[in-house]
Amino acid sequence: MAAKNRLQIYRRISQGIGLLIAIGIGIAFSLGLIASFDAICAMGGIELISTFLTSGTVLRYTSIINLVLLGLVLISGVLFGRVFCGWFCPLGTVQGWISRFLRRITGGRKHWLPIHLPRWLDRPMRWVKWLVLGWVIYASITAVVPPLMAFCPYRTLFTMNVGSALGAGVVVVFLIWSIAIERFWCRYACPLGAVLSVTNLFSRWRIKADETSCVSCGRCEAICPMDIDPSTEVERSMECIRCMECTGACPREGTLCCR
Amino acid sequence: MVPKKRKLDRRQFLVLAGGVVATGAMGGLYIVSDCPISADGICTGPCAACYDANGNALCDRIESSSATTAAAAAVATVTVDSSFVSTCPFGLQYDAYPGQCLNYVDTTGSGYCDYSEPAADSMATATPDATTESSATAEATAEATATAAVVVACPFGILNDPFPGQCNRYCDLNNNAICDLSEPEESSDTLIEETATTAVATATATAVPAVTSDSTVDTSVTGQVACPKGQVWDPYPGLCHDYVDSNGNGYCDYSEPALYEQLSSSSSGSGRGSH
Repeated sequence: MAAKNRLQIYRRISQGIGLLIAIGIGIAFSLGLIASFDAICAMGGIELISTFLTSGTVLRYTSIINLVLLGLVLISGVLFGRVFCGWFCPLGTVQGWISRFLRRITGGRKHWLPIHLPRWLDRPMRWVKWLVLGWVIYASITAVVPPLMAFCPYRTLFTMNVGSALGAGVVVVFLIWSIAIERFWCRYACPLGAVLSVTNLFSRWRIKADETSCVSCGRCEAICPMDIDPSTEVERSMECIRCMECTGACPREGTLCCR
Repeated sequence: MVPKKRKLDRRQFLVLAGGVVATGAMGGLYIVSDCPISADGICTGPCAACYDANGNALCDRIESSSATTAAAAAVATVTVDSSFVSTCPFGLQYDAYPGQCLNYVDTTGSGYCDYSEPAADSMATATPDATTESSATAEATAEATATAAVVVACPFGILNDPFPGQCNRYCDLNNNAICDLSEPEESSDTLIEETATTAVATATATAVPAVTSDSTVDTSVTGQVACPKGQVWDPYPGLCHDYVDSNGNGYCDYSEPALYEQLSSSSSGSGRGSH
């Protein structure tokens, strides 16, 4: 159990570093110390590739850094799956903190916030992020600036670009949905999450469940931030973000573990 | 614990309803909001937040910004020819300093962006006048007559955009010194229809010299170049993504001192300081 707790400490440290980097970049951008916030984003790499392959040009505000970041994120995906989402993404960290706080103040284990959506609603909505990814790629073909720029909560939140009503609206809507549903953006809307979810299918390192020793206590499902049932679907799930919360919550040693 | 049969209670339902309402309100904000990308109201180019309800090919957010209001006041002081068609990619007329986009250029010293001034004037300054060995098809293509609905592939809806083009997507595979994307085409699903104050009346662009394949290039010539990176005789494929070779000599046009001299002397300054 101590090893499991230590893993969560490492995760918190990693998330903290990611968050500090994002805040630092946002402040540097606001002070004019760096020219482009959008150049430091893995999603910009996908937008850049889309534009370059179709028209031979690049989008404004993007650079080779986008490709480097995308490459690093994809390598981490091939090795560990969506580990970037669970261990480093600053937007995921913010959402995770909001949810953890809400769980405590709305009743602990019997919390009513964040909401566990009914499966019939939750599962189809997860495909929306693929639509978002498709739109981003399509829009990149004819755009001059990154198409997600105006609506990206990551950019809006960390640059505090709330001067326009739309910017403020993006932040408010993001926060409301983060309160309502844990990791709402990661589950339903993040185009980078859609790309990385594919890597879950063939990543070297993944969480595996031993169904013979599982007692179906439901603790792993209750704590899973992506609202999947780890005891039955964690191995093949494209949604697992490798946060290891389920392995820590499992009361039977060895039922849920990384292999 | 997660109940096996998940049902929403009243509180949860209200929170979700609040989220839906907030999302809907953001949809409304999308229409009335100022530009979410540029805080100073200066357009950085067509983007996903472009909102053009009146179909004039100009983002309504920029139209209603204070910068545009100031520009409109400046316009009021000049005589506007209602028939004039600017070459501005955003359809602006008499766009006052510092301009509403990053492409502002004022070689005439009038205080207005050359692209937003009457086409004849701006073309005269922004278009290369290299007449040597121009291809025969160039003038025929360039002298396009305005039509009510001209279809072009240019994402800015520009018709017959002359060298070096008003954006970094300039490409000229047929060597007529007009951006291929801005040349009218008959039918294509991907083409967009230009509806802004219609097209350029007569684009008087004359082709950049079409150098034959057997021409020899004297790369020992040095001098001032238009390349923003200061490259002289930058060979194919070029050191940056803006490589353009309209004269087919294997070197980026921006890095050719001879071409720069030619353009400077004939037009007293290029249409764009950089590409």
